[in-house]
Order: sequence, then C-alpha cells, then structure tokens
Amino acid sequence: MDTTPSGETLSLFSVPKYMRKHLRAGPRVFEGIDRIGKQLLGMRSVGEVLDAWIAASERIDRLIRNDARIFLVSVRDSFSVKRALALAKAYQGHHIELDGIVINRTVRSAATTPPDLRKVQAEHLRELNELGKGVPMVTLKQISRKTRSEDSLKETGEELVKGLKL
Amino acid sequence: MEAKPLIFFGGAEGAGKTTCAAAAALRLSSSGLRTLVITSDSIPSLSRLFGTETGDGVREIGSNLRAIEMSRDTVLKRWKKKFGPFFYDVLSYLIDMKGLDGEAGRPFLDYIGSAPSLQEETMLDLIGDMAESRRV
Repeated sequence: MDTTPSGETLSLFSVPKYMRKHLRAGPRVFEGIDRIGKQLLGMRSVGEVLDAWIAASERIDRLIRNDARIFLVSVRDSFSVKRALALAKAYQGHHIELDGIVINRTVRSAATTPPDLRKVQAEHLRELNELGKGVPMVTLKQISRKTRSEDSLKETGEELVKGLKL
Repeated sequence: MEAKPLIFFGGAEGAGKTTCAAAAALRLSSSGLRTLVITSDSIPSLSRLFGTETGDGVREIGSNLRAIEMSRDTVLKRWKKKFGPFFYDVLSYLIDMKGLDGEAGRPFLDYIGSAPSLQEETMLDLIGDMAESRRV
C-alpha cells in the first residue's frame, strides 16, 4: 500500500469515542434524544450510531497495530524529510512502532547537484539516518526516472525485501 | 510467529511510496506470495510502473500479483456508504439534512468526505474488509 495513516487519521479513530463520552456528560439530553429518535422519528438512536461508529474505528485501529508494518519513504529534500519526521512523531504519539526507513536517492545525480544543495541533502540524510536508528533502513541506489524499467523495479524490490526484512 | 500481512509505505508526495510499494510487491509475488498492491495516490502511476492497465477493481497484473488503483471518487463513494451515515444520522438530530442538501446544491457529506483523513480511513477500512474476507 502506498500510503500510511497520518497523525490526523490516527486521532480520528478516537473521535466517536470522545463524542459518546461527552454526550454522556449530559445524561438527560442524551436520554431524551435517544428516546425521541427511537420512538418518534424511527431513526437510529445517537447511542446506537456512535457505538457502530466506535466499532468501525476500533477495527481499523487494530488493523494498523496488529497486522501492519509501517515504513517511511523520503527523498533528501526539506519537504519530504519534514513529512517523514512529522509522521514518525505522530506514530510515536500513538504508540505505534515504525518498522523501517527508505531513503530514496532518485532526486538527481550527485554530479549535477550544486554544492549548496548537496550540503542541504547531506543534512537531510543525517536526519533520516537519525530517524532510522534501531529500525531497518534502506538507501536505494540512484535510479534515473528516465531509465526506470521493470528490471530496475525488480532490483529495487530486492533491496527493499532484503533491507527491510519484508 | 506469522509475519504481519500488511505493508504500508508512507511519506510525502513524490518521495517514492508507489515505486516502493510496486517494487516490493513485484519481488514478494515473484517468491510465490500472493500479493496485492494498492494505491490511492492522486496521480495514478501503477499502470505506468507495471506497463499494464489497473483500476478501481482488483486486477491480475502478474503471477501472484494483483493491483488496485483507487480513484478519489471511488474512495468518496465508499466513505459515503460506510462512514457517511454516522455523520448524517448524528447531524440529523440537530439539522434538517435533506433541507441543507437541497439548499447547498451539493450533498453535505461530499464536503465532509473529501477530507484527507476520512479518505485514508476509508482506504484502511477497505483493506480491513479484504483482510477479513481473505479475498486477497
């Protein structure tokens, strides 16, 4: 899958639970809405709706925690590295372990990279290496976008499977 | 211990997530594992990477290898069916939703369901369905 849940999405799974909790804070209103919904309007009660919503959210949360391995991919530019760091921080906040880091070097060849940019890339590389401490990390070989082929895809797959222990 | 069956590659736009997912899927499928590669990227690229047509449904693209390229529209439709009613039913206690939809000219759920987090949630829910039904 070519995406991972963002911090916002992970937080979203708790929203129905919090909604239910705060409805309970006003029990008279809650019970009143529940009764009207069921008996007069023929609608699902708010409690029933929220319980179903909580169950759906918790199922996805379990899926991520129990059945998924999460790898972050980044090129060596500021936006990409910041995004990777933000995602890693969000997972840490939700007590979800990161399973590995992929450093993608396909931005441009070293020979054509201006010295200033090379310096920035080196700093980003250091940040990514720091992020990858303690987890499998793969630095992909430099593949030009123009020469990407099935063979290079297979080669990349081999690097990922070995390096990330897939 | 059984390996976790789902592999997610996350990161910024243009970081190479789809390439990594496609490459890993190609390699894993070639070792005999039944593999499904899924993308919900706004710029579909699986078709280009594999040199074959992919789309919203599960398609065989190689030996042991299948692919789904979910469009934003499909994700929104799925969200409206699965999660939309939660919002709609709760809001219906406070707002005349039919009246609101008529006045706004576009279903209110379309606005809510286009939020990125809700789209991610919908994709994850789809994967959950597939994992549970062992359709993969």
